[in-house]
Amino acid sequence: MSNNKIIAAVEIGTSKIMVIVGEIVDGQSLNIIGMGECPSEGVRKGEILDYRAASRCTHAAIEEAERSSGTKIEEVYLSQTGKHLQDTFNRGSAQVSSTDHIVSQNDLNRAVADAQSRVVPDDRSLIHYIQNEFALDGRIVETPIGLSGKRLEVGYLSVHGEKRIIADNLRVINGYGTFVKDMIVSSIASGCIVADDSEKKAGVLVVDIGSGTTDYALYRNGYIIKTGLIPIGGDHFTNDICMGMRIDRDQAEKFKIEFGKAIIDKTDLSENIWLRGDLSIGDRSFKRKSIYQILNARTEELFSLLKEELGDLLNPKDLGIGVILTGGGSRLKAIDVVAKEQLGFDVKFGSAPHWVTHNLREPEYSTTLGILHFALTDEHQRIIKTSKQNKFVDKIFDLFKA
Amino acid sequence: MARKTKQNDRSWKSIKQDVGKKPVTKIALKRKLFGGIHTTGLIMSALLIFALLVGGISYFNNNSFHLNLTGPSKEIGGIRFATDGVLNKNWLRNVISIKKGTTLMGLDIFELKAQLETDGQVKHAKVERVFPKTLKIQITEHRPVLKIAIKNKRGKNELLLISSSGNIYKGFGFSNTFLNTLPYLSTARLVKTKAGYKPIPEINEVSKLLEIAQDRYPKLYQNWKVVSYKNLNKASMNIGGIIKVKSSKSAEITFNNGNFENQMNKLTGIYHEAYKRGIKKLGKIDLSLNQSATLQVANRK
Repeated sequence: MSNNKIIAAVEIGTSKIMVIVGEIVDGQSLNIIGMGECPSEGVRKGEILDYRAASRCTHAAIEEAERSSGTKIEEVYLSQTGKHLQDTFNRGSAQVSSTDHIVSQNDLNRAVADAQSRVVPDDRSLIHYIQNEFALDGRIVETPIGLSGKRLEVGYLSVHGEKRIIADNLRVINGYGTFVKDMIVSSIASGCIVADDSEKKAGVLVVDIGSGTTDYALYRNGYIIKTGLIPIGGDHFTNDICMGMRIDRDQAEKFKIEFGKAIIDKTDLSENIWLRGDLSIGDRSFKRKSIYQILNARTEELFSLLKEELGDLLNPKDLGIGVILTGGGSRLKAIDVVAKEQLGFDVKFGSAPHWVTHNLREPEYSTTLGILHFALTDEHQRIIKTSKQNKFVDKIFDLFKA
Repeated sequence: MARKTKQNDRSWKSIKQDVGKKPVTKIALKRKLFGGIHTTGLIMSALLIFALLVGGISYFNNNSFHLNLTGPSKEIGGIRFATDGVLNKNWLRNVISIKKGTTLMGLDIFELKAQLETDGQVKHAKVERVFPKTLKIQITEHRPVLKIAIKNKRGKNELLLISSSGNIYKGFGFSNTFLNTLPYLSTARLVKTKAGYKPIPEINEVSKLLEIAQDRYPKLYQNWKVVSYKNLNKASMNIGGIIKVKSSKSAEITFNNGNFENQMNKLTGIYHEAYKRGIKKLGKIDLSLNQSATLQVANRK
C-alpha cells in the first residue's frame, strides 16, 4: 500500500499569500508538486483586518495551488506571525528522590509537570510547547536519567498567541472548506529550512525579514530559546523611500530593488537616478545618496531593535554560527553589512536545501518551505508512532498465537 | 522539537474549526459546488450504469432471439477435395450423392463424414462448411502393405488390399505398377461383415517387417512375392510367432516376430555371402532361431 500523502503549507503574509503543495512519499521524502501565490489584501503584520478581502486572496492562492498540483487540498499547515505572538520560558524543577541521587524517570516526570504547570492566560492559545535543555545541579545535560545529582531542572519554551487572532486565521482557511492540521510560527518555520542541526547546536540567530514584520528564532545547544518579532519589514523600507522622496509606492519599490543599498556606499554617492528615464514631463532625478541614507537608517533601526530585544541572549559564546538572514527583505543589498555592524556577529544569507527546485530557492519562500519541512517531520514522527503501536499489537497477537 | 500534549486545553487546537460552514468567497462557493456536483455526478453515474445494466438484462430476457452467427448460407456450389493418398473426385462421386439445391447449412456433415468413413480405404474424413457455398472434404487414407486374392460370390478372382492396421478393402486409384510391388498374403482367414471384411489384427506385426524391408532394404523387398504368418496373435515373449516370405531369390525365408532389424541384417549377410560364392538362388532360410540361421542351398552353379 502506498503511504504517499499530499500536504499544503500556507503563509498568510502582509504582501502576499503563498501556498506550496508537497507530496510526502512513505513519510520520508518530500516532492513539491504545486504552488499558488496571490497578492495579499486585508492583512497587516499577521493580523486579519479585512476578513473578506483576506479570505478572497487566500482562497485564490489555494485554488491556484490545487490547479497546479492537480490535487484537492483537504488540510493545510499554516504559519503564524504577528505582534500578538509571545514566548514564555518556563523552568520546572524537582529534587532527585532516591538516596543514591540517581535520576529516575519519575524525577524527570515531576520536573516536566512542574514546568507545564505554568498555564497561559485565558485569552491566549498555545502554538508551540517546546522542550528545552535539562540541567542537573546547574550543569546542562541531554538525557538526565541514570546520571547522579540532587536537583533536576527542565526548561519549556511556550509560544502563544492571541486566541481571537488565531481563530480569525483559522476561519479564513476553514472558509475554503479546508482544515488546519497544524500551525507553526513563521520564525521557527524559516529556521527549519535555513539552519541545519549542527548550526542550531552551535548557536544561531535566524532572522526572517518579511514585508510587514521581521521574525526571529534564536537557537542554542540545538534548542529554540527565544522567538519573536520586530514590527519592521521590507514594506517599511519602501514606505520610507516613498515618503522621503515623494514618489509613489511602485516607483519606491523599484528604487529599493534596483538601486537600494543598506549602507551608504561612497563609490557612487554622486550618481543621479532618473524616475522614469525618458525625459518626459514629470521625470526627475534623485541622488543615490538619498536612497542609501533612507535605507541605512531603517535597517540600522531594525537591527538595533533586534539587539535591544535579545539583550543578554546575544552572547558570543552561545552564537557560534552567528546570524542567518532570510525572507524577501534580506534581498536588500548590503543588509548583511549593517546586520554585522549592529549585532556584532558573522552574518550569512540562508540558502534552501538542495532538494528545493530552482524557482523556490529565493529567500521569500523560506517560511513556506519550512512549514512543509515541519509537516514532513510531523508525518514522519506520526508514522514511527503508528509503526510502534502496530508492533505492540503484533506482539500481543503473537502471544495469543503462541 | 517536541510538542507536549498536556496543555491541550490551552492549545490552539482547542479552537473549533468549522470547515463545513457557508463559503465566504466565490472561489470557495465554486469549489463546494463543484465538489458537490462531482460527488452527485459520481452517484448519478453509478445509478445510471446500474439502471442500464438491469434494463439491458431485462430487455434481452424478454426479447431474446436467435442469432445467426454463421453468416449467409447458400446452395452448395462446389466441393474442395483433398487427400493424402490416391483417391480422387471420381471416387467421391461414387461414394456420396448430394441432391441439387441442398444448402450448405441444409447438409448433415456428420452423416456425410460417417458415409465417407464406411469405405475401407478411408482412415479418417473431415468435412467442413466454407461459407457461403463451399464444402471442404479432407481424407486421410490407409496405406496398403499387402494384397490378397479371393474368389467372390460369382466365382471370379478379386484383388483386395490390406493396410498396415489390418483393414481389408478394395483399392481405388492405385496403379498396376504399385500393386505389382505388393506381396500377396496367404494363409489368412477372412471373415465377412456387412460393410466388407473384418480386419486382421496380426497384420500389424507383419507390416512392421514389411515397412523395414520397404524402407531400408528395397532391393530385397522387391523380390518378396508371398507372405504368410503363424501364431502371431498368440505369440508372446518373442517366441512362437513366425512370418514366412517367399521371394524370387529364395524359396522361403522364415522370420520370428522379434527384432526384425537384426534378422534383415542377417539376411543381407547371407545373400552377400551367397553372391560371393556364386550362388544365385537359395532354398529355405530360417532366421527365426535367434542366435543363428539355417540355410538350404537350392541350386549351385
